[in-house]
Amino acid sequence: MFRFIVRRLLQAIPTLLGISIVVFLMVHLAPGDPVLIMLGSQEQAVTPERIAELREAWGFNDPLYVQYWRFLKDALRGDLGRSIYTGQDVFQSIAQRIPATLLLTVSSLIVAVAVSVPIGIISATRQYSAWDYIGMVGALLGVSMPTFWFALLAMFLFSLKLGWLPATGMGHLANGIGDVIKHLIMPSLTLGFGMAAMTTRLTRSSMLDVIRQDYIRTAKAKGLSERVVIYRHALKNALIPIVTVIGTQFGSLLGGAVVTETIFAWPGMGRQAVASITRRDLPMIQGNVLFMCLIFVLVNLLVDISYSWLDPRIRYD
Amino acid sequence: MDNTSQQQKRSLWIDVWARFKKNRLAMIGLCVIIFLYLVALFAPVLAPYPYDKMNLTNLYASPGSPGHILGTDEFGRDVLSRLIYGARISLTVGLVVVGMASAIGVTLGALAGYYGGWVDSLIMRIVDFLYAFPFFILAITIVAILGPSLYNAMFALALVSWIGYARMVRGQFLALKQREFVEAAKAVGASGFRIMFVHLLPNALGPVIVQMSLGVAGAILSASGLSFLGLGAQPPTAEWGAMLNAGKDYIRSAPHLATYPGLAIMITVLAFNFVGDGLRDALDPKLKQ
Repeated sequence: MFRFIVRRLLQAIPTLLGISIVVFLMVHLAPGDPVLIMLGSQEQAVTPERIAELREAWGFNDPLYVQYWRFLKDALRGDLGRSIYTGQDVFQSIAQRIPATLLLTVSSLIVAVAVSVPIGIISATRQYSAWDYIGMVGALLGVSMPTFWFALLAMFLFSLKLGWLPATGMGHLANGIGDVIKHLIMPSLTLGFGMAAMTTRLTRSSMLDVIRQDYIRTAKAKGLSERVVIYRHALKNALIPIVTVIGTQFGSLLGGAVVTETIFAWPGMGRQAVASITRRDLPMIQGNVLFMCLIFVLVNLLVDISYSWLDPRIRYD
Repeated sequence: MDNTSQQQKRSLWIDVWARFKKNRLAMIGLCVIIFLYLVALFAPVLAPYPYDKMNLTNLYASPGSPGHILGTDEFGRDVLSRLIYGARISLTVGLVVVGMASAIGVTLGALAGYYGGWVDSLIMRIVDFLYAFPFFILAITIVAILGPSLYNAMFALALVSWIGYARMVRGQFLALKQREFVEAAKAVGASGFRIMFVHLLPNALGPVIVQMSLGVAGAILSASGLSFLGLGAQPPTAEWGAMLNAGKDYIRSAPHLATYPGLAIMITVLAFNFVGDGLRDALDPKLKQ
C-alpha cells in the first residue's frame, strides 16, 4: 500500500511539471511585449530605454528554458512574483485564499454526495417508478441549469426577499462559527446541487449495473434482507465509478467555484483569478491557475489511492 | 455490394428514428431546438426592436409594460428582442465549439486508434495531460492569455473539449479495426485514410453523435458562464450569459433582467440534453434494459 502511494506520487510529477510549463508560457504566449504586460497599467510612463533595461533586468533576454528553470526554482521556493495591480506577494495572497476555496469546494462536495447518492440508489432500486422519474428529470434539470443563474435566484429569494441568509461574503470566525456557516449555506448548496445532478445519474446507472450481477442474486437468494444486499453488497461495488467521477468532477467544482465565488463575493482563489484576468494581472493569474491545477491533481491522487481501499483488486504494481 | 450496405445503413437510422420518436422527452427537446433555430434565423423579423436600441426615458420597465412584454434593461433596451437575438449567439456558439472540438477530436482519435504505436502514444499523452487540468479553469486560462472576447471563448472551449471525442473514437477504432470488414477493405487495397474515414468512422458514429448533442448543451452552458464572468461576449452583444452578468447588479430592483436570460439558457441546454439522452437510448436499446 505504502509503495503504491509513493509510486502514484512520483507519477504525478510529470503532470505537475507540464502544468508548470503551461502556466509559465502564459506570459510568453499572451499577445504583446511581456515587459509591457508585466508593467501593467504603468506602461505609459515608460521610455523605450527603460523597457530595454527592464527586459534585461527581468531576464526576458535569456533563452526560454533558462527563464523556465528560474520560474520553477522560484515557484518551488514559494516565490510566484508580485501582483502587477496591488503589488502584493502572489504566493501569500493565494495562501490567504486557499482555505476559503477549500471550505467552499469541500462542503459543496459533501452536499453533492449527500444529495446524489441516496437519490441515485432510490432511482436504481425502484427503476421506472415515479421516484425514479422525478429523480432523473430533476437531475437533468440540474445539469442544464446555469449555476450562476441558480445562485442569483437563490440570493434573490433567501437574502433579498426573505432575509434569511447573508447575500455575500464569508463572515468572520471572530463572530463565531455560526457566522461562517450562515454565509456558507447558499454558495455550497448552489455549487453542490450542480454537481449532485451529474453524480445522481451516474450513481443510478452504476447501481443498476451492480444489482444485476450474479453475486447480488446469490445474496438475495440466501435470504438476506434488501437493505443488507443494497448497502453491504451493492453500494460498495457501485461506488468505484462514482468515486472516479467525484475526482474528475472536483475539477468542475473548482471551475464552478470561480463563478460561485464571484457571485457571492466569497474571498477565494476563483474570485481572485477572475479579478486578475479582467486586470490582466498575469503573475496573479499564473499563481491562481497553478494552485487550482495543483489541488485538482492532488484530489485525483487521493481518488486513485482510495480505489485500492474500495477494491483491493485494483492495485497497480 | 454498395447497394446493400446503403440499405443497411439506412435501415439502421430508420430504426434509430423509430425508437427516438417514441421517447417523449427527446421529441419535446427536438421540437424546442427546431423552434429556437427558427427564432434565431428570423430574429430581425420576430424581434420587436433592434437588440441595441436604447431608450433612456424607459429604463427598467417591468415585464408586461406596454410595448415591452418582458420589460426593458438598464439602457431601456427591449429584453425580449435581446433574448431573441441571443438565441443566434448561443446556438452558433454551441455548433461552432462542438464542430471544432469534434473535428479535432475525431481526427486525432481516429489516427491514434487506427495506427497505434507512437502516434497513439503521442496523442493519448496529450489527451491525458489535458485531462489533468480542470476543464473550466483551463478555458479561463486560455481566454486570459488571448484576451476576453466571444471568439476567444469559443476557441478556448473547443481547445479543451476535443479530448473527450478523441478518447471515444480511439476506443471505438481499437475495437472495430479487428473486424473482418476492415481486413476485407485492406485486402482489396484500400488506403489507411479510406479505411479510417469510409469504413471505420460510420461504424463509430453513434456515440460521437450522442456526445456532440450533449456537447452542444455543455458548450452553451460553459460559454454563457464565461460571458457571465465578463470573459466571453462583450457589451452590447445580446448574449444570454452577458445579459445575466449585466442584470445581476439590478437584481434587487429589476429581477427580470437576470431571470429571463437564465431561463433561456436552461431551456436551450435542457432541450439538447433531452435529445442527447434520447439518441443514446435509441442508438443502443440494450443500454435501456
